Amino acid sequence: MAPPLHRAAKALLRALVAIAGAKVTDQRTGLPAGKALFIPWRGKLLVIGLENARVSPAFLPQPHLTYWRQDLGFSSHPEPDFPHEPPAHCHPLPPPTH
Amino acid sequence: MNHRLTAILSHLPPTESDRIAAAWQASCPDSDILLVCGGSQDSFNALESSPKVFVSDPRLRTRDHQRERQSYQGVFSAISAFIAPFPQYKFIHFTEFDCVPLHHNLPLWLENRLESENADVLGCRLSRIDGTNHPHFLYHAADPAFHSLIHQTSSRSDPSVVLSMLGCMSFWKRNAFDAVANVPDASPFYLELIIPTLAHHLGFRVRNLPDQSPFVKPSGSFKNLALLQQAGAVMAHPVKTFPTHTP
Repeated sequence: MAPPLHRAAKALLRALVAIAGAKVTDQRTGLPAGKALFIPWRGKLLVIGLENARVSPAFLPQPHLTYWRQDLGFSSHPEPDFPHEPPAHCHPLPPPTH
Repeated sequence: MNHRLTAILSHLPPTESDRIAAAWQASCPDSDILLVCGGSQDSFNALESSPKVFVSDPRLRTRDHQRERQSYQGVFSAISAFIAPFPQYKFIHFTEFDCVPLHHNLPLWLENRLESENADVLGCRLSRIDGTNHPHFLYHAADPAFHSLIHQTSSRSDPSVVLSMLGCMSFWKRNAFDAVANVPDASPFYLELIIPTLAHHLGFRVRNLPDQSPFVKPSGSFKNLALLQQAGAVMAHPVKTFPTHTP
């Protein structure tokens, strides 16, 4: 279990996310994905929040060509619905050779 | 002998495990019951339920399950070894001790659902998590051995797919169960991630039970099982407890 100070800090951050977090929309479904804080940190972005969302980030397609800005969005995967696939040794074609 | 086997994983004291096995047998007369002991050797020896198997795998006995990557590979291997002499078992229903049947014949219900989905594996809270912020995915994404195992195992055109599913219950066609149980080197990865991911990459069709997932939550508790039953639940996951009386 995390030390009390860590737990208190996390609780504080959660409260901050609830108050000041940015609303994030799932770009695939259009539904709310939650709220999050985006904090620049050592050349990356810390994402705090979105604990209950399962989303991946990607730059979004843009209908107008702009060089100065792009949109970064978050999307969930659709529910898994993959067909059966025969094992590799049952495939009709041999594996590719390089 | 039935063609369905319900395997109940329990680490509880022998009297509790025996009580749970008896409750399942009373609820599911058309399924054979196997008690899978994840507790001590002494607890296993004291069990009166039969049949029973003991799992010695230390990777089952974790405390911080996610960070230590708790594994059910030893559990699945033990069940697979148990059913090996019994070809009549066609379907394996895996459940943890704290899942409660709320249907008069849950394994039959699951078999019918499996057939209607044309699936090989059914589970709750199944989702695709590769590339996402899912903590279990990110934790494994940092491990080259995980990617290596999937690439070596996969018969799929896209080996990047990673699935997640609750570990507390699942329903399997036997060939899919045996295939996953006998993948070597699958042990060092967290069970909720590696089990559905391996099944998928071995070519099996894994499907979600979205209508049951609200009743099979990973945390919290349910006070009134009869109300859940009325709401359409065929099973519930009261988390770390099995009620004295089931509806």
